[in-house]
Amino acid sequence: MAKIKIGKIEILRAVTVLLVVIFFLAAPFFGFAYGTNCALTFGSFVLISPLELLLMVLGTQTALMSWLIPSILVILIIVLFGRFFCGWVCPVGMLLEYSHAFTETKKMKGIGSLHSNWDRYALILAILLASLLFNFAAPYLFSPPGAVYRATLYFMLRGLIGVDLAVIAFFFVMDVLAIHYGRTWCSTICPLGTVISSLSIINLVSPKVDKKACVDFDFNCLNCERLCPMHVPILRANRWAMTECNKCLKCWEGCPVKAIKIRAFG
Amino acid sequence: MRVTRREFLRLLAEGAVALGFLRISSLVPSGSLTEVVRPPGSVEEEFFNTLCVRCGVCVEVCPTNAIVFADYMDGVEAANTPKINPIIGPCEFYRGRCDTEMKCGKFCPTGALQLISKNGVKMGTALLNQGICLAYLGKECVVCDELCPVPDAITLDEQKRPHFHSDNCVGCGICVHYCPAQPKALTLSSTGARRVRWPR
Repeated sequence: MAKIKIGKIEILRAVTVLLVVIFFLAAPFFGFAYGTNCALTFGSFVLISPLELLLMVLGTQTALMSWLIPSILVILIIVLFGRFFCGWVCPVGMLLEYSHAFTETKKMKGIGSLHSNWDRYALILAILLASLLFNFAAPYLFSPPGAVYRATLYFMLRGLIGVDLAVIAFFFVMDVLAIHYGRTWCSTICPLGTVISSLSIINLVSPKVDKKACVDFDFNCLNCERLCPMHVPILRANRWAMTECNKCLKCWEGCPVKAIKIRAFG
Repeated sequence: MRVTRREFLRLLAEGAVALGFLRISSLVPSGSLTEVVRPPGSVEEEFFNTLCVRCGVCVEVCPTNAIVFADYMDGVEAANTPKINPIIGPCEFYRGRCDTEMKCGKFCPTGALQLISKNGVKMGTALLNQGICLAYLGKECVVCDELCPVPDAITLDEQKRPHFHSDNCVGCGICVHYCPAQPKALTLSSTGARRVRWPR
């Protein structure tokens, strides 16, 4: 097993994710917020995830103001900050990342390609078409963050009987696969991730390499690309490939010559 | 970003496979074989599975634990949607712990369950199996008649045997929950359920 270096940002991220998990699981018992991350309700104030919003609008072919107005805030955050959710809020992504971290010696060459995979767009197209034509919304069932929260909450409220075992099994298999493949789920399949990265038009925060300070051309370092859990080709990435960035700041922290600046607000 | 012909063909093939896979799941009869009893104020079954985002809010807020998640036996499309399980708890929207307002309808974030007036609710009908019912077997039992919150839904005849009137029954499941017979002489079915029309 390789040495795992844990930086300050790593700890901050883990604490953030843990706090979110504790909030989701504790809030219904205090009665100020109900729901999981597919839809969260604070009584009258509702937050709906953009994927669920899309599926509801397509499935019923109606658009209610009561959905659209609360979603504006969520969509605005996504347009500005992109896959911030995946790095700092989603507990499943975090778990996948840590499952991978313990087998760092067997790590794949973490160097992503500029050719983004089209498979996930095919999948999201199929999902949206199925919602439009057959009224079947598949991500409700297999989208891991919502499903895992749902199963955990149900377990806390009612006990083991009635917990969706299919989802637990699915999540377990995903986690075992993550030991080798890391966050491949997030960058290739996750329908919510696809929607988020497609929506992140402005994407304010992203790493930018200072080409003069970078040692890549002399030493073939590529440490940033190897560290990146989302396999973003940081050195060559254009704006479009950078929508994958989940703002984990690993590249910024791990760069040996501090050549990476985090471009924020312009 | 250019897409080569090979990539485009692969994309098409994947789309076809994924669509076919999703179509199979919609061929599985959803709710037609085992129609599930929905919580009060739910919209038509046609839109329910799309509108319900499986967030579990209704399960969390239900004060009587009557709402549980439907499992895969109720149809793949209906999995993890809310349903009433009267064995675990009765729905006390008419009288009891939830009678001021229906909490599931109030808190549902998407409108799959709607807050409607109590008088319009009919979730289903309680069905009596006379072969198991204690009163029909000659024992003295009037539990269902005493606990039924709805007037004229259950009446007793001269021999103190219950008679169920499906027109008045609101399908709350209180009689099913408290039925002392083993196994329960009563089942809750969704026959005659009145759903909220989804405006299009």
